[in-house]
Amino acid sequence: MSGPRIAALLGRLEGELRTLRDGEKFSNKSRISAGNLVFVCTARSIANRYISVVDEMAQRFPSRAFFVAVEGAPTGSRSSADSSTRLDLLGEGAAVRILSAQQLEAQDDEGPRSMMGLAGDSAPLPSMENAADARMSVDVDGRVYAIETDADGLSDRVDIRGPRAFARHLASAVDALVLPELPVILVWVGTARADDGVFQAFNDDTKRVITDSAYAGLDSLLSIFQWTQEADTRPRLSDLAWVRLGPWQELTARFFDDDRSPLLDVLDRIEISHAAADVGFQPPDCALFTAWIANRLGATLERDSFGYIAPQKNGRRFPITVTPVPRPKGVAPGTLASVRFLAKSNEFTAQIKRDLGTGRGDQTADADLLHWHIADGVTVLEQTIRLHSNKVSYWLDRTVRRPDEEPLFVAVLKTLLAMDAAQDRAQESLRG
Amino acid sequence: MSNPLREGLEAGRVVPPCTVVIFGAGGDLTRRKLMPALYNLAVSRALPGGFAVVGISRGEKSDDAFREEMHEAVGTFSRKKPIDPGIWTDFAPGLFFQAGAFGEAETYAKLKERLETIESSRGTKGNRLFYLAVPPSEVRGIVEGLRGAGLVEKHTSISELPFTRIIAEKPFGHDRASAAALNGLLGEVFGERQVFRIDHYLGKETVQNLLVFRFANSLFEPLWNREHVDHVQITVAEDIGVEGRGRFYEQTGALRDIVQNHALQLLCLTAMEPPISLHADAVRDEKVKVLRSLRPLGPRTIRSSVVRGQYTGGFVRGDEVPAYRQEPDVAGESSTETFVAMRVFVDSWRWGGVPFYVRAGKRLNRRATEVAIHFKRVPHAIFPVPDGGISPNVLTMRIQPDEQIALRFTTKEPGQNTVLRDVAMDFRYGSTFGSNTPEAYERLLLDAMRGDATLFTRADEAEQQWAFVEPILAAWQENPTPPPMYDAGSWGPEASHELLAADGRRWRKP
Ligand SMILES: NC(=O)c1ccc[n+]([C@@H]2O[C@H](COP(=O)([O-])OP(=O)(O)OC[C@H]3O[C@@H](n4cnc5c(N)ncnc54)[C@H](OP(=O)(O)O)[C@@H]3O)[C@@H](O)[C@H]2O)c1
Repeated sequence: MSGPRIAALLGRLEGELRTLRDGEKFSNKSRISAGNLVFVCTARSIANRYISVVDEMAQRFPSRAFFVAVEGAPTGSRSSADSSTRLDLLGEGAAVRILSAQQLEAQDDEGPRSMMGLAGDSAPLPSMENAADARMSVDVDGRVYAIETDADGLSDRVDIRGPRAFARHLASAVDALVLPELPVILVWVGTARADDGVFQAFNDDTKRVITDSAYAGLDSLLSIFQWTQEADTRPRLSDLAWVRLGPWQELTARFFDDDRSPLLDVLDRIEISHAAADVGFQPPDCALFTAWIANRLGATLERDSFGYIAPQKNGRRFPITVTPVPRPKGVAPGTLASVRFLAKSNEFTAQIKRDLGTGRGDQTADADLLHWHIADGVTVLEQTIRLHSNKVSYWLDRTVRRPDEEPLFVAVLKTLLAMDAAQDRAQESLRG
Repeated sequence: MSNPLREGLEAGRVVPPCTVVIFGAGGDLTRRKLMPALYNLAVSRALPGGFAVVGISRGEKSDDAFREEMHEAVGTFSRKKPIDPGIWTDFAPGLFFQAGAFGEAETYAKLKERLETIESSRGTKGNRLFYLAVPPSEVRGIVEGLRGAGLVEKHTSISELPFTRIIAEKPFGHDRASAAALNGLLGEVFGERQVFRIDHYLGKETVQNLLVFRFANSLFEPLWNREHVDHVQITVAEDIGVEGRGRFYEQTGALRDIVQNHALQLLCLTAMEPPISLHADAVRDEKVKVLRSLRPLGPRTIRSSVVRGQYTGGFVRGDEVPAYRQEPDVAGESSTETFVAMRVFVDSWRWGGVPFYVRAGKRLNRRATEVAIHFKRVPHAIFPVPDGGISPNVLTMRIQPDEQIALRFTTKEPGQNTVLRDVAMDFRYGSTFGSNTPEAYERLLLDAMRGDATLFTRADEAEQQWAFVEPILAAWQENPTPPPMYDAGSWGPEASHELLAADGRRWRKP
């Protein structure tokens, strides 16, 4: 039923991809690609807006990009108002332009960064007779666009849209169009669960999957992580929330450079704050940061009512408190707002404080300002630093250029899983 | 004591805090290259947390006036434009200026005091990188001044802290003796590991890519030898003239300005054996071996293997341009060479008998720097082809104007008959990895701060380079007849073409 229609669509897309680079406009462009980027978006509310992230990414990274919009809610999925607010914000106040396909076409002649729509007629499919849900719009559609890269190269973007029930068809269409020899990197936009059929359909042959747990939540991240660890053939996992912690880690490490690392053995407390989120949402930034510290200090982690406790090998147990602070408009819930280290009976304090919302995407391309401060009773060192770019595409680009698997990230996720497992065991024994 | 929080963080970002002291901060190099490079490092967040720059030259001015000047320079010459006000606001307070003449002890005493204040306010931990952006005549005075003021401590290891390092600009001497004297002077005050001699060509992406290309691909290295390579052409062509630097060029010439350093570096990277690692000394040991195996040029070979030239008036890119002798500050009868071409042999097991043709010059047809490996022809022609048979494969590593790797090979044209056609497959570096290719000076400054000397010239390397070209300089000095002329906008004098024609070969047209 659907087979021949998808085949026809594929035939058209293949033809368009072949001729995309013909013609004078692109004839002098380099044709080298560095990979396939498959963006799968299961939340209609952000699909249109994410397209500009895909394009910015394809401008930075010569590639064949796929933007697959899978329509319809997964059964039993939690689509609370909270998760859609988080999805709406798309990163640290990211500047996301909303561009429809028509707008992209209209930009055709706007110079080097313009994108050209070469789509012919869309080929809507007739209703799928045995569609699970009669209300679903059951057309599968595809389009092809050329995207000039920052440096005179050419990427392309293939948009494919279709209902959830067709996920396997969509995934197989993507499979047919990926550039051979080059890795497939899956970017999962929105919540994902490893046991979701759609997620699995797109993970048949991927080398790497990139999530953003700031939106998808910690549970989603841990579930996907466990799944990736089950077999060597599974893709490696990267997470944008983790990569965005990079500057925080760097600045935190700076507290303990030179002769100050012995302070790590005498920590009294760590205080972390984040932009307020809805009850029940565990801010992944805080969890990842905490687990990173625990892992580096050779400590384990226990959850507590105020946050966490980290029992160190030397027998010390220092608390890590996690508290919400008011969330300014335009800031994503759960965003890391400050970290503070206290040691030597509070004589030593080291703090990074973020001016939440100062780097909002509608005002600047830089992310928020950070104030770095260290005081040990004798000297005070201070610095103000900008937290890199606030664009999602910037962080994606950095993520793609990092190794497929980072041992440190794996270790941190394992620390979090071990904490949950210990907690489960404890509860079990209480009940028993 | 190591910091456990550093372990596993994204590599390459550990640049120790430091103060960069630029001698010659009023000069052209600082405006055009150094300050834009430092600013771009700030943009990519590559600078350490504790960071400061102290500029020194003659003429009093306030820190603010210096910051204003540098703002203008960065606005004009930066790779990333326009200046990001947020980043500039963070960067500018780290810039300081101090007036002083390089020959006076007072300059260094003041500098020392200034550095101590800046180090405590900027958290640079006493690490100092001295950059000599000055004419060679000033180097001795500065090095002695630094020593006199106790601003240098001699180290034998790169990891000693706080560090003191020095970056020396080209030209590094004007012959072997002066280079050795300079090395001697630096060696009295600094350990070799504290000295970073810049050849900015080594900071260019494609030049580094030569190593990656050769030693990270298994495809090319088996062909990289006398069995398969017919010859190698190295071209460093500029379309500009002396650009107001006539006085400097009169004393320099193309051989000293380009061949002795840049062209020989390209030759070394092309011809060297695989180093055992990327450590500074492993790579430089291999380069020095190549320099040592260059067949020495005697008076007779110089006559038959080295060609020089000087440009007369002509047309370049549509403009009529004057002859070299008509440039300001150039003698009317000048015999300075603005062009050199030579045939060089690397006497080694790998390269025995393979000629390396090297040419460099000003006011040539176009700006192009490249290394082209010409492979041997197929041993037997089974395809009927007109005009001289199937053209051999050529692999070109292009360094300027754009960074590119191209492979020329032969294919069949589609059709009923077997018609062969040469095609070129291009890999343009920038277009593949995005335009954020850093400038050479960014990479080199960062490497010096990190203490990685792989891309810098070692003392013995600099001397060997001079040792190779010195007989040519001597031969020309003995025979002061003016060099043959070539039209500006051409590819050099006739003799250069004859040099290759004598071997049955031709220069490429890059
Ligand atoms: N420009 C380039 O693009 C470039 C490229 C590669 C290599 N280089 C090399 O870099 C070095 C510097 O080149 P440049 O073009 O920047 O030279 P420049 O424009 O002549 O600048 C030299 C600077 O040194 C200062 N200076 C000279 N003698 C001094 C003294 N006795 N006391 C105090 N200050 C003194 C000058 O100060 P005043 O302003 O007071 O004279 C000026 O600021 C040279 O070795 C050159 O070969 C330059």
